[in-house]
Amino acid sequence: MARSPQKYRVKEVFYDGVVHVIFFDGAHCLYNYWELRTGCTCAKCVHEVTGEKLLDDQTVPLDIRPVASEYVGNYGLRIDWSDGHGTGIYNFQQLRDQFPHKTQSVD
Amino acid sequence: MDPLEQQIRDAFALIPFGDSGQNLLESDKVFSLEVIGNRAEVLLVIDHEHESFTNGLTQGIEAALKGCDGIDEVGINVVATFEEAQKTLAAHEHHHHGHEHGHAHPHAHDHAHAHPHAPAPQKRSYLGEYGQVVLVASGKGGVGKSTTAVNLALSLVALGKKVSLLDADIYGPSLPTMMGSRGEFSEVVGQQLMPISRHGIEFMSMGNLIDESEAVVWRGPMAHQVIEQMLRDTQWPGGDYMIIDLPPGTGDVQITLAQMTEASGAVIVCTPQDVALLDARKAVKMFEKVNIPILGMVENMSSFICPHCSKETPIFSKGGAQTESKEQGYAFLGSVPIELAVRLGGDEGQPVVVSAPQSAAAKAYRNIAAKLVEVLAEED
Ligand SMILES: [Zn+2]
Ligand SMILES: [Zn+2]
Repeated sequence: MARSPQKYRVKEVFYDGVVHVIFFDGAHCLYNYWELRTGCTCAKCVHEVTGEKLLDDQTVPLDIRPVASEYVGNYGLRIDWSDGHGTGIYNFQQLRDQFPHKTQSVD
Repeated sequence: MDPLEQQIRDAFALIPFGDSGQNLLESDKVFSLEVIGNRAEVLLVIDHEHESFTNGLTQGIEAALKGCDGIDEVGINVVATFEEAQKTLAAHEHHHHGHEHGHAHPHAHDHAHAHPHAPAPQKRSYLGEYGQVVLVASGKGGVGKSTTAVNLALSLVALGKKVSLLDADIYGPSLPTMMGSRGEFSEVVGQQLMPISRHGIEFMSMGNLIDESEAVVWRGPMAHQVIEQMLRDTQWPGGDYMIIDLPPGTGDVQITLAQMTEASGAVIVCTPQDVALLDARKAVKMFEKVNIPILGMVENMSSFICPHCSKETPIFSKGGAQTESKEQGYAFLGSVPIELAVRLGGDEGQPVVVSAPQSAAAKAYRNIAAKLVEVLAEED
């Protein structure tokens, strides 16, 4: 129940063609819109029991982008995408450890 | 850039956006523009506030587009919000699926302009620059909550931790007296409040923001704002621990603070009296309701230590809090014997951990701090 380590806590999120996530330990990670949308793990996109992917990546427009978003507690980010999908919650720990991303040196 | 797109952009730059002083491009109202064959389709987002500009604007756009090479027909769609524009465009793209689009696609060339970026999500929590945020709470006043918060913070410093302290008791701030900063005011640098520094700790207190003689009654929303300001607008240095001295009792302010800071947990301060324990139980319930873990209980004033002969005399029957924590299943962090030094130290701006580090009370606080560090390590 105690706080998650700084590595998994997020200071700031913003969008400018990619998703920028700045963690409290200083890491600045960049996520591609299309990869993030097609990597959604919500129950509509991935079967809850079998883990089988339900989303057909081909149906996600190449110009997909976030239109709105909100923090979910202190652990994640929910994004409303331009294709109308908005049930996915991106867990910061997963974003940091598992999700493919580029890093940007501290500005 | 496509020559037609350039031509359209140049034409749009000459169209004023009402009386705003901006041109159409600067106003960022063109959500998308598509040219298919000889027909141009424009989607504008004009909110209700600028509705009156719509007529002039659509006329100007139609004329501008018809003046561009190869455009004979113009369709203009106006919606009030970004979301509506999203839906309109999605429906439209679906409709045209499979068509070979000709000529310019400004929205495909330049997303940044055609679609403004999504706004950054708003953070509603603060003090993320601290490893642990610990709330020091009590069910009622007068149980030594602030004394505990201060001495706990200083004991953590003695353990080599980097610690800050926030006096969230805006109704009766006692930190200035205890830390020796009465009459001093937090410096304001730009939009930021600078914490005050004493005994190796940076801290903020309402008592160092306004004059003591100004009797301020903080009502609900204002109290909330003032606390949010101390969290948000203070140039907190960050560190291992942020200790927050909560106002006594169980109300909105306590819950808001717990949630606005993603607190690690709460330390409940009580006295061994049954009444106090009932109040403590109320505080525990409040934190459980909002999923804030109880880190443990600190019992104050359980005995009197004579400053002359060091004999310890229990004032109330000792150990109530210990039994209580055992029953409720959380840690008992320790009891602090009341000592003249605790009281005097507090009043002179020299907390007992600093002024009399060898005293029984100082030792008790250090043990409590060590235990708290342990509890937090387990939780992680
Ligand atoms: Zn999904
Ligand atoms: Zn004596």
